[in-house]
Amino acid sequence: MTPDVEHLLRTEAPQVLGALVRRFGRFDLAEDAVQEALLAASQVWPVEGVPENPRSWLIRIGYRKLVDLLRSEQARRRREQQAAAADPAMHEPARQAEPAQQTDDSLTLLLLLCCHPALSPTSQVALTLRAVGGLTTAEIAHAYGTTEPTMGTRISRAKQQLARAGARFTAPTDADRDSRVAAVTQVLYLIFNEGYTATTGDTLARVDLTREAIRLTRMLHDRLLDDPEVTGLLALMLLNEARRTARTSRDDELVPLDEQDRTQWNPDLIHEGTELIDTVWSRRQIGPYQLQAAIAAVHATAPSPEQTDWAQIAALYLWLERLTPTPPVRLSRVVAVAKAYGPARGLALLDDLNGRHGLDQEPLTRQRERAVRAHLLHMTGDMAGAATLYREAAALTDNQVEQRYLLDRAHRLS
Amino acid sequence: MKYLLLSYTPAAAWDAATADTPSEEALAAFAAYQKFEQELAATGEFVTSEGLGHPAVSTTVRKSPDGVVATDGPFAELKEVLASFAVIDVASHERAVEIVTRIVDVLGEPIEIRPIMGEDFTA
Repeated sequence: MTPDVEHLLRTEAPQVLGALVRRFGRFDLAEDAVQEALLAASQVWPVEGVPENPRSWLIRIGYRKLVDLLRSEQARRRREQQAAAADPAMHEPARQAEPAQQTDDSLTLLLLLCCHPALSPTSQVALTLRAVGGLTTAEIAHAYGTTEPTMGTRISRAKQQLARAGARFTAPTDADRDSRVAAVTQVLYLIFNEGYTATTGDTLARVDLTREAIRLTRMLHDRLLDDPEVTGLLALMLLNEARRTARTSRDDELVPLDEQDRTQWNPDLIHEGTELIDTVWSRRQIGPYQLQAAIAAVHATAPSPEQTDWAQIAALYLWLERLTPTPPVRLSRVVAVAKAYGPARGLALLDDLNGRHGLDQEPLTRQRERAVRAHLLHMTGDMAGAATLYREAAALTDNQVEQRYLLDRAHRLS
Repeated sequence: MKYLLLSYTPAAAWDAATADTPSEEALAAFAAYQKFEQELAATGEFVTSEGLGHPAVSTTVRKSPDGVVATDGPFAELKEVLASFAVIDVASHERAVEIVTRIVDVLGEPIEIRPIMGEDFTA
């Protein structure tokens, strides 16, 4: 199969799936039907040429496969004399909700479906990458450092959960649309972060997942231009992605922000990201993604680490902490305050936050809390204290690149 | 007065591998039917007509002791299944039969004529 055909199939697959699911419901079977249609295309097209309208070709074949799958399922059901009432998948309470606002956009609906509240975040992520991103089970498994059978099980379980939860695909009502979009942005952000900082394994950045997350977020942004948080998320991703090459050294070591070669930052991505956040900021419907994007924009536009407007960043983190009072955000505020007003103020704030929120106990921050405290102690001149804490931090991470970086720091101090 | 025309097809024919590759004769018959449909549109007797999806993609909603339940699939498995429908608005039942006779003559498959109970039938 030529790369062109492969690319075409990958872009068309979610559209075809969306069309089938919208019309006939049954996400689980529709997904199988689309896979079969793709398989058929990969066998037929190289021989007979790509049809004039590939999408309708795929929809037609997919529809036929779906009929086959439904028929064999219905036949089996009859054979087993299984009463409809005994099968929870077949249950659906009479719909009394207000009819949802109709939209012709299958892709957005597919994204909303994959991020259905009945699914766990890991299932949402896997299903989104598979059904909307068009990645194969093997690709997703590889990206998450797990085996193909494990990922396959996770995806098919997600499809079953979806079948049990909703039985059929329905567009969200206006009332829960916002929370569903929020779930989608969270999943996209998870995918991006997994790609940006791999939690396990040897390589710091996983290019495929970051790109995939940006591609999907762009897609969502194109369709929901009026959603400020979707815009904020896209800006945030672009601004982080702009620094990707500068983030690791040639021998795969982590390079912290203030040591990065700023000439390596991608000016096009920075330009696009800052423009997006500037435009949406003026609408004054500020949310967490916009705040994080604004912080990233302050970093991205600073000519050097010394000329960074840390006071503004500290203020933005305080705002972010009010909206999302999570341990990582609190810890980031500590860093910004220390940069803006000196390590002593930073340490005092860290002690205060530890006393009230236990950042040194929280699973999400206990490792970084040590790294930050080590850095602040280092700045105040307490070399021995800093070295001990760097070692403690290193012992708490599974990411080998980060571990090497922290041990190297400790080594240089002692 | 309006009539609903229900066109049936053998379920086996719909499932046959050849279902998607109509023969020359079938295409010619369909073209003849479409021409006739245009004629009826011109006389104002044609209201609407649509082809239907495979019965397997239908959903049946029924009341059960547990509440209203939606089940995938047709209400019953039949040898002959509904394939398309049309609505015509004609002067008499005789005219409806006349029209349907021409369609069946061309297309070959049976069509059921059901009167639509409009105001003139309420008495």
